[in-house]
Amino acid sequence: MNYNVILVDADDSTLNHTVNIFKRFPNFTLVSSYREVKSAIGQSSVFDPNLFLIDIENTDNRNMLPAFADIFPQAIVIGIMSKWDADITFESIRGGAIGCILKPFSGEDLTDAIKLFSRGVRNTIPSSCSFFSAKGRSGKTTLIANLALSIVQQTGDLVAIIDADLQFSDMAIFFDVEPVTTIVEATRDVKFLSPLRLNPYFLPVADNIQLLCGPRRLEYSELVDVESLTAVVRMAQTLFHYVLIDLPSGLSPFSTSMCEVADTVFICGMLNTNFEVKHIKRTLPLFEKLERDGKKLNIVFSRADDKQKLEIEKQLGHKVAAVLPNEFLMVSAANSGNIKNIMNQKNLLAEKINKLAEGIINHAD
Amino acid sequence: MAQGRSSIVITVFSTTSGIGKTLVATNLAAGLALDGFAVCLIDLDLQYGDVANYLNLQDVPTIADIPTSIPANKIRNYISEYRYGNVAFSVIPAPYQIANSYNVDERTVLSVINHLDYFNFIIVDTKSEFNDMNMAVMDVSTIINFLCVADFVPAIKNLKNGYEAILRFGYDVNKVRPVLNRSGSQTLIDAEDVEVVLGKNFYHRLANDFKAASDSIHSGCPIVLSNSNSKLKKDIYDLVGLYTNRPKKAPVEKATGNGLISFFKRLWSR
Ligand SMILES: Nc1ncnc2c1ncn2[C@@H]1O[C@H](COP(=O)(O)OP(=O)(O)OP(=O)(O)O)[C@@H](O)[C@H]1O
Ligand SMILES: Nc1ncnc2c1ncn2[C@@H]1O[C@H](COP(=O)(O)OP(=O)(O)O)[C@@H](O)[C@H]1O
Ligand SMILES: [Mg+2]
Ligand SMILES: [Mg+2]
Repeated sequence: MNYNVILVDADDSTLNHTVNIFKRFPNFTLVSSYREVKSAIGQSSVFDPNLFLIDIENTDNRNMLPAFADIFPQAIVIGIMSKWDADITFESIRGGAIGCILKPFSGEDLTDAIKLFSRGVRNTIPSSCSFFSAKGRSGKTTLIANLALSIVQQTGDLVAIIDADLQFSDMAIFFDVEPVTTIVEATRDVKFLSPLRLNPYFLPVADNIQLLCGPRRLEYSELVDVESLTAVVRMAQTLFHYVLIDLPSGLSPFSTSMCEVADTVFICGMLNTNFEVKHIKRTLPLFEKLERDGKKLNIVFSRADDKQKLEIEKQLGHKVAAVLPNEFLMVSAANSGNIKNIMNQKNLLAEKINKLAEGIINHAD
Repeated sequence: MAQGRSSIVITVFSTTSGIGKTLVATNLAAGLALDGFAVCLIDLDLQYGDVANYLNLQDVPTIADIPTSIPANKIRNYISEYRYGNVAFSVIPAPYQIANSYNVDERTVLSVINHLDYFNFIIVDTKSEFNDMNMAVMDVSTIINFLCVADFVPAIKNLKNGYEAILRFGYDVNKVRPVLNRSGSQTLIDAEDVEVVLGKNFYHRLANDFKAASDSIHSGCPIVLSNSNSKLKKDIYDLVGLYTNRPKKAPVEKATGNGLISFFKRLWSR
């Protein structure tokens, strides 16, 4: 594909650099460049541009991003910045940019970025969910894998799963893949990464689903620190439409930070002895505080039916987003790495998960 | 390691959760008490412990109530009794409030264990996780009862990794006893295959009996003390016997495995 590129950047060195690298990339033509965003908005139309490179470290430029989307609906906008900043990137993506790259970029970077940032079907506002459980064996990992499949099925968008259940990560087994790079390398390197460079750490596990695998060895879990993990998640949030985060059970600096960085928190439990409900009730005040601060809270119980749902809601004094039925197929599917089959079948579990996924999708709209 | 102490410390640990640690810990305590030993059960699943739930104990002191530098002669004030008929054992439950779980540190717990030396057995229930607390307690344990269940491939990967890690951490292989819970449940994985994966045979197997397990949990009475006639009750009592040198009955019969299932093979040949 050929690109008519317009550069919006007050820094002359960016212009020189762009002119230079485009010499080797004949499919990119720099049709015009502007120091000020106002001129770009006003004058660009005569050049029939289909790609804008806009310096998003400049606040005026960022504020005008929605105008570009309005006036040039068939053009794509990529933000350029000299230093990685998750907040600025977020704001730009919300404004209509498809993603951001770091200066100085190469022609290859630009080609990769266009390909990478145009994956999926539409440009939703990125959305992320963390999955908390008080005790283990709550059905968390199963739920995440199925939600990912359902979101892709319903939207064609791109979903990332981050397996942050550091000691006992098993998402790779659910999808029957062998980890290559993992969360250990991603957190180690994150200081030197941009979304473009983070992407290869993710492993494609199904159509439009990419997984950042957990540590390959139990001891390596020690190497992952909360701060770097938060940085990885924030970067991933600008790279994928949906980011789903699997967590170790229980409260820890890790699980609370991951719940803070996501916009939806799922609290998962599996109905077994009924003490699970009691444990969630003891934990709920912490999360209700986040809920009051605007976070979406979804409580999900596995192996429960609608009648039990009412009882649980009464006990918790909080709405339950969904109950998932006991589905033996689930166990055998996960055992054989065939989890993809579940969502292709007609059963109550798939139905309930599709409903939950719809909730996530609509929240992102 | 377990120097200068005479009581036997058995830690019930696993690297998968929800597989019966608490059930086994409460029943070990009850079974040993039934055999006439002085037993204390400690719940170190600090945030979400279930010992008090499964034994229906309320409003008793918890591990978080014990002061950091408690003198040995004061420890009795913080121990509660569980009694069923004329069998009794001591219990120190996990905190009722999650916030209080953060106040419990390894040093206190280790000195508590030392002060409890007048018991024959100290049984410790844990959370399935490698953390400082669990490691400290496993260090001073006589035996680590490493609980396994053969129902779910991802969980078995974690059992294998966990078991190997424990050995890598330097624990004596004789001290770590893999015990299979829910043996014979309708799963797609053979126990023998798990033994191959672990590279070690199960020390003992406990039958799968969901009704007996959940009845006991809801009634607050350990299975070994109940009048249930389930195989699970017998299996648990036999496990107790293995720890007390009670004369052995017939050895655990070994079924012949039908070889590794293909996905399983794939998984472990990686
Ligand atoms: N042998 C068994 N047969 C049938 N069900 C069992 C058996 N052992 C345990 N269970 C059931 O498994 C569930 C989990 O048991 P338990 O709470 O003891 O596990 P745990 O390992 O302590 O879990 P957690 O890691 O969450 O603390 C309970 O509902 C219990 O009834
Ligand atoms: N709806 C369900 N019906 C039946 N079994 C389920 C269901 N959801 C999960 N499971 C099973 O429960 C076990 C624990 O699930 P998992 O997702 O690994 O939980 P966690 O990640 O919280 O430990 C697995 O054996 C899984 O197959
Ligand atoms: Mg999991
Ligand atoms: Mg337990």
